[in-house]
Amino acid sequence: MRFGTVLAALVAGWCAACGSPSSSAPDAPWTTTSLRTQSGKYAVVLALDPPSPAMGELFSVEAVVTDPSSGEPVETATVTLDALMPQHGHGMMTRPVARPGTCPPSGEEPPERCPHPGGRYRTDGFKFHMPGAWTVTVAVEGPRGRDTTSVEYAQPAALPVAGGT
Amino acid sequence: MTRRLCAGLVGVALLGAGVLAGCGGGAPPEADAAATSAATGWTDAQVALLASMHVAARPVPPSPTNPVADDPEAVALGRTLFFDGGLSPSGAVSCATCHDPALHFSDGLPKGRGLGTTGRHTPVIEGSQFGPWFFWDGRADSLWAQAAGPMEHPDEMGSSRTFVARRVASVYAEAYAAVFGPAPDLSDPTRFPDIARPEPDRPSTPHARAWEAMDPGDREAVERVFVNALRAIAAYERTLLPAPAPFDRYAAAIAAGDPEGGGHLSDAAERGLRLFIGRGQCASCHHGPMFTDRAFHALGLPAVGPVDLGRTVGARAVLASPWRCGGPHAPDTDCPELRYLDPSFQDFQGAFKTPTLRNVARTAPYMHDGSFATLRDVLAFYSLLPGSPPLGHRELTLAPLNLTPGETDDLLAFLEALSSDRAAQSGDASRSATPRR
Repeated sequence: MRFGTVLAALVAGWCAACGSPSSSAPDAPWTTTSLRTQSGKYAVVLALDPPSPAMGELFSVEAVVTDPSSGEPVETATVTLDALMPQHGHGMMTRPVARPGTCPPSGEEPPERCPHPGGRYRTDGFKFHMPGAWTVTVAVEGPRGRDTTSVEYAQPAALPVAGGT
Repeated sequence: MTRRLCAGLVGVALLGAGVLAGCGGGAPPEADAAATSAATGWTDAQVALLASMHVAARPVPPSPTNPVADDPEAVALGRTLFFDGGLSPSGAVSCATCHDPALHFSDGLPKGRGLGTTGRHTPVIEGSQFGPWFFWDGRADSLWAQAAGPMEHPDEMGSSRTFVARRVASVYAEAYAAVFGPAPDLSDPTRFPDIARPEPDRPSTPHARAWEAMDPGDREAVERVFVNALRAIAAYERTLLPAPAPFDRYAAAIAAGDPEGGGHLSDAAERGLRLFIGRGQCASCHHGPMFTDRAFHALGLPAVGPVDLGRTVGARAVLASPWRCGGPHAPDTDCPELRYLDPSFQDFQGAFKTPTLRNVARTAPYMHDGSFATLRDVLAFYSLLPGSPPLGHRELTLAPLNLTPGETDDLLAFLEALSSDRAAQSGDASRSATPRR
């Protein structure tokens, strides 16, 4: 992620932390969190897979996007998920990749325009390589236009203990 | 920021405090932090952190591109190859030349010294099996891929894949066959010239010309044996786990509720530990059982030689490596680390892999360039952060620690407590996550 993008997202992170009505700063680390985009166009529920990723391990983020007025899933949007450390001025060392939607068997639809049943958008390749405050950013480009939000996530230093001590 | 967050961060990383400080609301982060055990003086989160840094806290991760990673016969062959100076045409340089078991598989020199002098300090092998990246710049993604580099480097073993494969197929034919099946016949020097190795950047060298002149099928046979030899060496290296240190006994005792930590740390070392995971923020990068985040950071060390781009080059190199996961020698392996690696990550410039701190007091000198002779020198650097980086910028999270002489002594005492009782031995490999054959 370029530093300019980091700065822009840092601002977004600030707003999120200050309790903007369009986003939230829930208890952290969280495993799932409900957000509203800045202009209220979309409701987004984020979930991590695995739910408590160990530091330095790859994980995925799923965003379930719905229309806040009807509650209906938004299935034809482009959802971009990313993360950065505002205090450090950098993002992740990885480049997350969004999974394509479910294309009809005809093969006529380009993958990027295929719908996401249930409004589920999954992005793989997240990795938090340092403990501390990360900001997960969400950008939705959908039928109600473009809107964004962000939320903090606190990556703990302690890793799950396996094998006992 | 909630108290749960603060507890989770253990003071190591109240890194997000700045964001919320501007909001002016809520209790101070430490005000109602998680309950501190009256018995041990550590919070529950701190106890969990200490436990996660125990040498046995995690099993050795699998090595997906090495089918013999946990094969005892491969380990035995790899051990022999590791110490075999005959793999170098000089007859005098082996892996152990720079990775001396008596020094926890390091060499005690500022820069590695084989047939010549290398550009960087020799890393410690003990504990390296835990990381996804190898070399200071992470230009290899497996232990066996790493081993290929020194074999053919003119300043290290100065060998060639053909030379190595021929020796393995002849001298170690029986042990090789027991692990990999019969080796091909590589005895014809006209078909398999000893010097033959590819050199894409220097195609006119005798080595490169000899390699290009070989039959493609012969080249493939050579590389198959060469890669198998590397995988055997990697199988041996996977067994080289650091033996327990006083810190491990202390952490286990604390986890068991012993307020004295079994007496395994001196008062100075315990103060150093609190500084390490507290104000010093050392554990932000030096955590986990090997005291490393296995990631890359730009410290902005004073320039002592040519500018070293570090991970900027290493990230691109690993994606192009012929030995990489998903490459010609591991085509059917899922490679998420490479798939999601961002080689353009801006802070890779001048960044190097966080080294283990296991046995750090016995593995001087320090840093990727070996520029600090003592741990006191290292702490003096972190205390003052002098000068400006020769390129890029120093990681923003770094701030001068301004250590007092007493704090420096305490940290040194703690780092000394990371010294194992003995050097690693193959028998220590009982924690492997993958089944043995």
